Amino acid sequence: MGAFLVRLLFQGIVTLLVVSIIIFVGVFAIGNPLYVLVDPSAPAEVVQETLRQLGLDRPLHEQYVRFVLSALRGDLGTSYVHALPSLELIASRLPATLELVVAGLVIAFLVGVPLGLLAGYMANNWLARLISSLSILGISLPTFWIALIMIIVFSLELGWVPTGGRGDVATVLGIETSLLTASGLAHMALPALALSLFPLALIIRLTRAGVREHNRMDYVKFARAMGISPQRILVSYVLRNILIPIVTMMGLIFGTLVAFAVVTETVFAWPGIGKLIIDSIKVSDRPVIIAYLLFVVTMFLVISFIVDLITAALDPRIRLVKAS
Amino acid sequence: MQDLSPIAATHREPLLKVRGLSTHFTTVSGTVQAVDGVDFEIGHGEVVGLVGESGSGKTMVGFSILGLIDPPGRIAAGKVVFEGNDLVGLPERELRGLRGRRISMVFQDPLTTLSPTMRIGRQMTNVIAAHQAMPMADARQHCRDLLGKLGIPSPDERMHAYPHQLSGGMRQRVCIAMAMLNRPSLIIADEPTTALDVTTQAQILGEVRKLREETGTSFIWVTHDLAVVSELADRLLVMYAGQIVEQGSVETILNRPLHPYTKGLLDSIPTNNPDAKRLPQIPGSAPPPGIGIEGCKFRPRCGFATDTCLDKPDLKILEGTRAVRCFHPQYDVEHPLTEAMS
Repeated sequence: MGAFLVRLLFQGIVTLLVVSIIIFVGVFAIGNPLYVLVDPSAPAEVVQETLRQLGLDRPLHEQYVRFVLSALRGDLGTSYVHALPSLELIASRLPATLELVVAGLVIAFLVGVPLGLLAGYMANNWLARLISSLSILGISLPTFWIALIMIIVFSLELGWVPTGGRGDVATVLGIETSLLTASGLAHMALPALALSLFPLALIIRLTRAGVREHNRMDYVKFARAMGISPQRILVSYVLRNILIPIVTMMGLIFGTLVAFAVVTETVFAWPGIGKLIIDSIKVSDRPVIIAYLLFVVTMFLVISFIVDLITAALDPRIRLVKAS
Repeated sequence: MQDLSPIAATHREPLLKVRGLSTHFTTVSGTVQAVDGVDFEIGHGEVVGLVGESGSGKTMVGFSILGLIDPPGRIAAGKVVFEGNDLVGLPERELRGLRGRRISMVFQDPLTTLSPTMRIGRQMTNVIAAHQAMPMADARQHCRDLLGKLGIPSPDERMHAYPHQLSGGMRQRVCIAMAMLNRPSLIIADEPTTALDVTTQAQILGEVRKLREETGTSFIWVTHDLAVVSELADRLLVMYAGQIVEQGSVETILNRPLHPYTKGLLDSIPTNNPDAKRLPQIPGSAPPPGIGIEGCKFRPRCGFATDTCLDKPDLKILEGTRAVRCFHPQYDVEHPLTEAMS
């Protein structure tokens, strides 16, 4: 386990370094943020002074070295717009996005796995076919469109839930959460549901395919030959074996949803991290963009580590300590 | 391994009576008759070897008895009378109650028959829990005892292991133990030692024989290996292309095979032909499933075939349990048999 962690940490550092160079060059290529920040009609001396203050007058490699050195001290730059450290900005917006994504994934898992098991087990009855068809819809319909329809139906027509915003929040351990207030839950219901549809459809299809594949395997037939009930075979034999690819996929989806929840957050005016990054790109707020992208990379590294741990717990044949 | 075991004498009805069993698979290219009108009986405490090449339908006979034929396959005709009840057409719930309790099965490949993510002990106790309410501690004790009897060292540790931590031989012992947990009266063993090395095979055969004498369980031992089955079985059924072509006691079939196919099988065992430069083999290969052959199904590969063989031969009963499906049974040929069968 120790050797595994060290190897992983080393891989993570190399990945971050490479990605930071790509990001830095990429963002540099977008153009000089100066003309967004300074009034074009300002005197030349003011422009020069701002350039110097922000360090934008230096060549690319010098800017990068300065960035890395301060990053090592935990400083990823200060937002040009908000005049706050960019990490702090991200941290302040992250909880809203995280709880939305987690809620969406929990819905997707809790609904998707049983439906997928049902669809896989029943093979050819009408309910199974209905579930399969709906899952194709869930994959192919664009999220923003479904989100808008949901707002029209559930907020405007039926008036069950608000159209947008985050509602009241409760503070637990210094983190604001919507999960503990009635208003917060009502505000979260629609965006979480909208966000869950895509992973839900994927989980249904993955589970269904897994069940159908595994039902033909010897270990299932042997369990049947031993008289073990179909429900038990499905849940404690088959599900356990097909959970591994499902967990791997959920890890990837989790990262993708946090990083790119922009659309859903925009539709529902959810004050999450997606809105922050869109605003920052609009005004070329370089430090925030860079910090955000690095944060996303780090998050994926952490997620894949957690997925490895869960997979190893599910499948006794995978041993993390093999390297030692 | 004489005649039937003493228990059999006290029962009039055989334990299992299969009559006209036909299992068909419907595919896009037509109907495949995997099992084509099979009749046989298994007495109480009897071990019957079911012998034949790959694809002869022996495994399908096993699955048909248990009602484990999945679509597109189905039992098209016939009866499977077990302990007085016909199992064909029995509701799934009742079949499930019989499987693993009254009739069990052991599969060919022990590497794939156990769930890879569940501990051995749990998989074993599940088999008990499926059929009876037994306190967990008792169930585990019962499993441990049985594993021990099957020659598994330190069964306690093995119960905590996952399948991949055990060797193939160990895993097959676990499967056999699972099949025996609820003391079934019939076990269908589908080539259980084929995937194992010879030493392990011999050990397992010995252990099964010992346990069988203790419990009086009947066996259908499916195999293509005549040497294995001659050590274990009382009686043999020889299958070819979904039909039984010859049956009789082990001794008579090995010493005086009547069907040209059986004779060919025996000739192709090296120890039966120590002087041959080249081992004789049956010409051609088993007909691919779905290919209809007029008359005797072995005719295209048979050296004794005549025009008579264009008719369908019946399984003619000669004396007692001895029967052969052939127009030209090979009475006159003195077979070069051999003690070397064992």
